[in-house]
Amino acid sequence: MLKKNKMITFLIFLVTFSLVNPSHSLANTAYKTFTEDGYGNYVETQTAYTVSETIFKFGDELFRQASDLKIDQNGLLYVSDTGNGRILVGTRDGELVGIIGEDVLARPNGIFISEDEKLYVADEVEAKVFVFSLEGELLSEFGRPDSILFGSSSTFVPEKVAVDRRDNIYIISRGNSNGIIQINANSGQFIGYFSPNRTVVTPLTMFRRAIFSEEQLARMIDMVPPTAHNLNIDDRGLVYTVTQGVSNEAIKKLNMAGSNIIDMNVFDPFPSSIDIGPLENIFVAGENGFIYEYTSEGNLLFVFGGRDDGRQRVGLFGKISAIVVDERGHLYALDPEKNQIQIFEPTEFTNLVHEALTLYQNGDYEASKEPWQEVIRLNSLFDFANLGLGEAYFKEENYEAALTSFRLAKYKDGYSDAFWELRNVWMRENIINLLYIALGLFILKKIVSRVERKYRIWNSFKSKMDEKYNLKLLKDLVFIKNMIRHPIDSFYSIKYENKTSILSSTIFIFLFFVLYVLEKYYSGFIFRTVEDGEFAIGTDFVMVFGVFLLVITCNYLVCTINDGEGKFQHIYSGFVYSFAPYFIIKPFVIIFSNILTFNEVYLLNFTNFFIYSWVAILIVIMIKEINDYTLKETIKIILLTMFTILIAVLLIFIVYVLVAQMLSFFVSIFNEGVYRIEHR
Amino acid sequence: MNIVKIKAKPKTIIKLILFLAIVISSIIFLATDDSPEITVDTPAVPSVPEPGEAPSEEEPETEVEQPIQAPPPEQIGLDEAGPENRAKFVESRQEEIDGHRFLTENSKMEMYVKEENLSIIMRDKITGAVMYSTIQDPVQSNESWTNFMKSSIVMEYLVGTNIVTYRADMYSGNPQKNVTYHENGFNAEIYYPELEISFELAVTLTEAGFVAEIPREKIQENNERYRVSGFYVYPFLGYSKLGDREGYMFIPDGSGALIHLKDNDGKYRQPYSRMVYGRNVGIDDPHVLSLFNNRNPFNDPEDILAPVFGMVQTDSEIGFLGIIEEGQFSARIEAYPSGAILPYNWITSKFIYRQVYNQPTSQDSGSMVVRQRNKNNFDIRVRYEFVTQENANYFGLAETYRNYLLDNNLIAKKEDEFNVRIDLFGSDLEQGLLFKRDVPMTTFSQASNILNTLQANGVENILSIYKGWQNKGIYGGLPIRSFNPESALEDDKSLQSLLEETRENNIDLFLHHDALRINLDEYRNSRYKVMRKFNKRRHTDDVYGNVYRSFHFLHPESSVELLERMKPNYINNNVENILISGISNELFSFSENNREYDRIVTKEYYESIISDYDSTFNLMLEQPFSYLWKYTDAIIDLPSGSSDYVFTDEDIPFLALTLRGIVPMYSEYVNFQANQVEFFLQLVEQGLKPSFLITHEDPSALINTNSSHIYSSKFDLYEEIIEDYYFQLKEIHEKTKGSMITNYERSNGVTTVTYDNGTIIYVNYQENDVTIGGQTIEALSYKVVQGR
Repeated sequence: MLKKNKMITFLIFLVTFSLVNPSHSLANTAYKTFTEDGYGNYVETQTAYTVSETIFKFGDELFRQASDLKIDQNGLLYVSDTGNGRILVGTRDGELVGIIGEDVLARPNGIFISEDEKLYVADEVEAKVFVFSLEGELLSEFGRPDSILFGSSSTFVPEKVAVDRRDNIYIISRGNSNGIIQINANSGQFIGYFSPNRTVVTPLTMFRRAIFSEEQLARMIDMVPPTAHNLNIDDRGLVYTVTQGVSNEAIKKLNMAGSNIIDMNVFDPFPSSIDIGPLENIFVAGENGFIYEYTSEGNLLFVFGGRDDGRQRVGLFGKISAIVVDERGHLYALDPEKNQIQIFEPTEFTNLVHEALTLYQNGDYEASKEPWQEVIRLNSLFDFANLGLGEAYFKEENYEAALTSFRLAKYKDGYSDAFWELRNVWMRENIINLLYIALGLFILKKIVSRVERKYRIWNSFKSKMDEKYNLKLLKDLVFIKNMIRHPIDSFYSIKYENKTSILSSTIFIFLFFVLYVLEKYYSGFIFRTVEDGEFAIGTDFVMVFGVFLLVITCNYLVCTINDGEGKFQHIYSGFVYSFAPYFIIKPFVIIFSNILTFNEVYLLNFTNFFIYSWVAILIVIMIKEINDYTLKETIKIILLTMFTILIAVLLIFIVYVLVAQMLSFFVSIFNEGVYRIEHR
Repeated sequence: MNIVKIKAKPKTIIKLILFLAIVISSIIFLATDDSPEITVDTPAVPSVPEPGEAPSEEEPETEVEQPIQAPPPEQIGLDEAGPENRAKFVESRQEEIDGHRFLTENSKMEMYVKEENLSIIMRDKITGAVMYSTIQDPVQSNESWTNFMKSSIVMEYLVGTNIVTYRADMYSGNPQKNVTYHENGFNAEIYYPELEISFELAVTLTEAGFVAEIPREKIQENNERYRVSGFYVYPFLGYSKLGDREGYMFIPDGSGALIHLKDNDGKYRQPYSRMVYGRNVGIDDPHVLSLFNNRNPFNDPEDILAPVFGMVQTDSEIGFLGIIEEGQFSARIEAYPSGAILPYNWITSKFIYRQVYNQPTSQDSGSMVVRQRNKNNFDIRVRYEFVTQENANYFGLAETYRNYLLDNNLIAKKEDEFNVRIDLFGSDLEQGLLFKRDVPMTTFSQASNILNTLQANGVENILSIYKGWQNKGIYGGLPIRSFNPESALEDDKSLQSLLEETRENNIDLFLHHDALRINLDEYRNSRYKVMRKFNKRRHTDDVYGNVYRSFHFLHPESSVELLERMKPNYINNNVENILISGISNELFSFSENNREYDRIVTKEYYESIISDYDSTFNLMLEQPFSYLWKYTDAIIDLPSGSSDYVFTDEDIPFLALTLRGIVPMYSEYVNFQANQVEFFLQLVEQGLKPSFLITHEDPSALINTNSSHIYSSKFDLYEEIIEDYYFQLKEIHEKTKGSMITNYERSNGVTTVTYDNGTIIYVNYQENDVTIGGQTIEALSYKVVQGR
């Protein structure tokens, strides 16, 4: 066979022993598969999993509203057949092996198979957790804990259940916001609540807390933290939870202390189920029918699937209530609306990624290089592979290749490290030359200033030019340097000596815009906040000029009604000239951002802080001097200006909405008219 | 007094106004922000759900638009699971079978007809196998469905401005029939007195089956109020109940797919129902899409490339291939697996004369449904070709279709030479700081380099398509209006010299020309007309790209005009090879100046210019519809699988079986296949030629362009792979060159393909070695056995 392909085949053989089903594996899949790039955006990739089989029933037993699915060590499937009040056990070929708890269970929801081969079933209606042997014998049951610690008003409506190897039962109870209930399986004792989801405290809530009465506070439901929706436990005893409708930490990997040790860039807004695969990869199913595969560290490898919406195609879902991974890496997704289980098997590409990932996670970066290269051959945009390859190169001390790979992966930490190494090498080779150049420049400057002092060539040229042409604009522009040394004097000059003009100030605003754009799009990769290929220059333009205009106008308006002395031109120029430190220092910041790494980031941060505080001080002085206010008045004016800005923005928004409404109204009338005339 | 006071203190007033503004805005701020959160009463104790109650369902609100989903249709008579017990075989010629009178016969078939409902029975004279066309004793259901199941022709009609379609058949609507028999069949005039609609059906026995026709001119509509909307023609021909019979239905989905005749336990609620030649964007609203992070997470299903469908009953060894000869441009093919509404497996063609469409009435919401004004302009003619005995399988259907195409000159046998297809990607655009920036991926000299390197390595026979050669690249430069190659691609070689060089080296280099799309972001004020749908809105072809979010379609007249304008341009620049895409696999109805035009008008525009190009250039078409097959030198991007519908039981390479040895067929790109080993085996099995999309630069440069879906294409990484594919597939091709497939079988994951020169190819898709017919085939491999 093909040389490269032979390798792949071999790898597949290592990873899986599956039979290929030719009728379904190569069809045009209904869904696209995406992976995450270094920025956390989705990019398309090869199909990661294809459906090999669909199970509609075990034997002749159909499912109804099935809500959970687990797989035991022998590969048998356990389906929590909620609608029929029982647990069905079957093989992956759809044969029925047994029915558990038919007379005991009322409405089983979550199930779990513990390490010592017991089946735990959470029953909402019975409000109990039942324990069965895998043969179906009822071993024990746990009701509402009577401990005082449990809380007298706390509810016990078990939805999901999990058990660790120390026989602690973790129970998610509907409506119990205290956290996950932890019960010891041997003694039945309530141990405590495990890792509650915390509410995010916003300034608004703080404000409310300050002014609301006790009663009002008690009525605010968003004070109650959202409960976890589902949970699972991996071989090492780490608890994984998913929570719906939260904007961060929707997926958590909890250590023994109950704190989250994972951070994900992207996740489903409504995760419904979670499982951990053989490589410690995390599989999450969303209620909308999307399936996500993450690495154990939370990097998204693949996302695929989706809602069926009448497309009638294999691999789509009405809804997913449970997802399970078996030891071969096959996925089983339970659909409670279509009442079926779809079995997905990994493609050759996915097996290759997993192979590389195994080596990478074991720290065997060098061995992982080859499979990563093969992944990249198949998909150059697979950023996680670029990252892995970068690490491999870095270990080999091939920093240039590492730099390229990290850059492609948009992995800033790695890029910074590789760049640091390269810069080090370059510095070592060129430090002498640099010193020579610095020395040369220094000497040159000395000579020039001495010559100038002696012959005054530049000075006479300047005065000559001055006589000949009227260079007011140039002088106005150069005047900005006085802002650095004598700000108060300069504002006096602006006010009384006409040292600036509207034109010169406008030119400086343009300069500000240019610097702003340069900083935004041409800072070094490590420090850039925008993504590659993202340009919004029109918006930038409107923003810079809009903000300047708004602030200056509002300030002017407030000043005029508060006995300020400044004319518009003075305030305009004063504002713009207050940015003198920005104009002088920012270019260096932009240049240096291209040669600095994260190790020296404090330098940049400090410089920026320095620039902005200086500008702020200059503005305050400007307002005070130009209008001849006292300090107290100045502060008042600044606050009033801010308020005026708020009102102005509000006003603009209202006008915009009204105009848009009106336009859409006229368009509708016109269309209706045209239609009526045409269909006479 | 007051006035004086006010004048005295303007400052106070301003302060007052400011104060008011502060108060008002703070009220607004607080009110808008938190009111929804405080309204709820005490935190309710969650109710314990009663058994049997549906679990509380949280509807995620992440979708952009909530798709409108039709409620699943009611399922009828599924509990009546008893078998039907109609005779599969009838021993000898009868006067009457099930109320059908003997009408006529030829050397192979006998035809029986029942005048009451114009139902026919076909009997194979050799085996005695019969095929029924209507249901004799339908399952219990409402009158409308009962009449439907017993009818041979069903007419759908619209009433007034009502948008619901009604049905009139051989019983409903009380038709008056006037049947005249002749030696080859019969003619029937059918008149619905209440609707004042009449039409004529002609059924003629042919050598291997029969033809059913309804000419358009015979359809009379004498009442303003009632308008014909469509026809089902022999919807139940070859039907079977639940799992009574063995066999399958063949649907032309992508490469072809089978739905087995079986009892589905009612798990499929909806049928397969697709327009022949793809959806009609001029009328049908696109599938409402729920975007996933601003992207479309779904792949479109495959289009129907050829107007055929079939039914095979393997237990009695009889089957038919339905070929829509006339009316295919407004036809649907519908296949109902048992349990989708009725407990029967049935497949049929449906013809559409009038449709309703959505007319938006305001800018962002509100629309009304409107009826199409004129009847689409076509006759109905469906040919049913029967296959029997050892031919009663899907290969028999493919062979029948192949013979039909050849006999009717719908396709000509082309020279069958082995080529590997190396498509080169020129350039695309990405956003820049001020202007859009060119992203050159393969310059003309790099292209020449790539092709020369391959030839030097022994890859002699190359066919190549240059995509994105025009100014502004593949998407920015739409439509192509002049021969103006992108300047960023001309480093030290021009396109003309590249063309010349490839001619000398015997490489067929085709220039890619998308004649369908126009990029209005770049050509806002172009004088070319843009296609408008029936509701007078422009159709947008949404691609959700990084630079352009959507394109528009050209008016067919403009497509033709542009191609005509380009013709001398191409000739003057010595371009001999053209690949036309876009118009080769899209057909739509459109409106212009308050007039409505159907798909046949579009087809006529396209066919005229394509045949013109075919006579001037070496022409290839991208995934062409069957009506264009005779013009193309090769079929590009032939689908190798189906769309994977839930009710599909098996994919079959129907198109490849039909066309192998007649027209060269090129696969979809190897680059983007996740299962490359299996894909390679499929190329071996179907006799497809491999295709690669190649760039010189790394495709990561394309990430910010509209072509960001190209994630793997760099030549350095593909050089070896191309050679491997080339040498292996060429070797097989040498043994099967110009031959047609004479048999095709599958068993235990091994496919056996027999060619008419005696060569046999075994393909093993399994991960263990298999011995078949005395040959051992290695796991995931193939074996070619040369004919005697």
